[in-house]
Amino acid sequence: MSGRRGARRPRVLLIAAGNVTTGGGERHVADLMRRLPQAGFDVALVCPDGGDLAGLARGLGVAVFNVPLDIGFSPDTVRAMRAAIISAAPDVVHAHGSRAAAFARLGDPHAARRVVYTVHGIHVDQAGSTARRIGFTAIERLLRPRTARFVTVCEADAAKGVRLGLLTSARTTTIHNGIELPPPTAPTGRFRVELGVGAHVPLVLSVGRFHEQKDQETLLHAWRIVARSHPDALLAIIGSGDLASRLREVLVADGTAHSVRLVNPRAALAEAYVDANVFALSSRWEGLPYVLLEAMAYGLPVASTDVDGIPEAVVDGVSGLLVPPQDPVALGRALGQLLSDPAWRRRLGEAGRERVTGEFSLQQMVARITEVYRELASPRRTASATDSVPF
Amino acid sequence: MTVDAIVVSFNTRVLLRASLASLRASRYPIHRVFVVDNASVDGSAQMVAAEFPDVMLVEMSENLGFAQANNAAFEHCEADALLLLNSDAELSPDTLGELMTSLTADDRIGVVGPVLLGDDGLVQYEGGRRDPTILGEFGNISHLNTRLPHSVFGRYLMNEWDHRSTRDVDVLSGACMLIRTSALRGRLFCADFFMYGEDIELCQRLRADGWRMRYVGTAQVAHRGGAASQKARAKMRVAGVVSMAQLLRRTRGPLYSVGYAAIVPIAWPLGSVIRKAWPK
Repeated sequence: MSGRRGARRPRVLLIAAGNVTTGGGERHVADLMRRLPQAGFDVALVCPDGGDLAGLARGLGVAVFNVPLDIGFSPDTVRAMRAAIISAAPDVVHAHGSRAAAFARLGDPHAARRVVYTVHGIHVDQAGSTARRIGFTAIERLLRPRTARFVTVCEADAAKGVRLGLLTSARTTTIHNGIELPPPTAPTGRFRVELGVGAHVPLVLSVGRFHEQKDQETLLHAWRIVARSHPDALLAIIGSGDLASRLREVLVADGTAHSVRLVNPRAALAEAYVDANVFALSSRWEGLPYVLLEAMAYGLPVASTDVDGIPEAVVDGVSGLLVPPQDPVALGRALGQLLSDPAWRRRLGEAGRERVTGEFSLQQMVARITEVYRELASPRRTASATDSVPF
Repeated sequence: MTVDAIVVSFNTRVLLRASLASLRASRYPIHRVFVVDNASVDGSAQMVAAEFPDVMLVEMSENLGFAQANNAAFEHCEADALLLLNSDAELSPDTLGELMTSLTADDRIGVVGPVLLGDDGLVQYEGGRRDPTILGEFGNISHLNTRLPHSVFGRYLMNEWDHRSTRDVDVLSGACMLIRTSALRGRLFCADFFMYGEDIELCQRLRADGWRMRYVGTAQVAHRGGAASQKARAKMRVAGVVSMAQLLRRTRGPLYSVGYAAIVPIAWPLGSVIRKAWPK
């Protein structure tokens, strides 16, 4: 009965600082957790307790280490991270987002040879106070040598990161986010029923938490322009957040409350995508937003701001329309054009779906990430059973 | 895979009844259930005979301990897998199915164990742990492992890991384990242990044969514990220390075992102080 121990699969420890899969970074982690075992990797997860991410991991038979990465900095958190990494004995530590990556690189004694840091959007030049910006940049630069590989979700972030001194170009790889492609689906009408409108009403959809980043205020101002030429059209924004009451005020002030619906977030966005005619995104900054890829995969033409990674997915005039950020007139005009021409809309939507199928599939994303893992993982001999087959 | 179950009972009539009822309610069918009664004086054996006529009752003439009692029933077992369950533990209807799915998922897995939930609803980290060491035991006895969970004292119980998820561990708890019968090669527990330590020895022996010990985060067992009286509890702690010294002598040598024995008189009173002076 001896000699049963087979060849060991490389182990990856995923680290997320959030615990709900509605966030882009966490959703990315959830996708990796589902796909990596089939690609020949053993997976474990570090995340804060409480959300659906840990529950998903447990359901998949993935070992979970609860480290409170979602609250402020404390030496105890670093110690807990260190204990988790030592316990999991991974070949690769893959941290998602700056917070997770900071703790991973502080906690991992072998950070320089095995920490992969995926940057899900670089916003330091956009958000926060000057002090915060200086502090963030300093931390990133200090920890930069303790990083085996940087991954950005778009070329724009790679360039920006190198320019700001956050990333080292030689160790940076861009791997676009990828999504599972939905089968072509006919409208179900369920989302329209929820909104209380019929199939003939032109429906514009937007998805995103109510935050200055997503800048729904600009979208609402743009809608005032759209509503003049398309009084029958409806705008549905799925999301929630601190700015909800502010957005309601804007609606009242603009006099567009009757043609806009703010809808609570849901896990299954598919019904909304299939029932919509146009997708709108008004973000001031982004990485490579999943909702945009999803909308394109469902064949929706998009009108989006031309920021960061978005032009890498949307080719202006081919798979959608791009407008400058914080420009309600341009966004309103683009939406109006799309609503006026159903045939063109269909062509743009089809081109978008093709583009996502060809270049933004989950399969491609996982294949490229595992390439990075394989470069870093090398077989090592270990002694105790917990260290030899940990997950 | 067929399953036989063994429950050892010693003066725990009421808990035993609940434990057997949970086996009866299991959705995964159990071939035969053995109850080994360690010469209880509370009528446990009579209760089993009267209320669970389908259970195979093995009555010991004296209490030779947990290991020997299980071994006595093991001689009669024929199934492909063996479920050991403490008399103060209860399965939920799906527990055995979950454990069996994990056991059969990989033919290198020799033993699987569930999440142990205490009366307070909290996960008992003893369910999946590392091999014992002097430092780990010091942390355990002195309660430093709960006060400094991410220090070296917390390593024994793997405090860093969420015990509601699944992974391989060094040692599973004998409170509830499902064992691949073929992995045992005809030998269950080492008879030298009276109580405690026998599960560690079993896991270490099977691991040396190349088997994996898998802790299954989706399977749950309610583990009451705390059923014994104050006096009995002190006795049990002594039994635990004796077993641990025995175990460490076997696995790490006599010197290590003596080292362990030397820290106990320090760790024990320190633990009493810490428990009072340093609330969790």
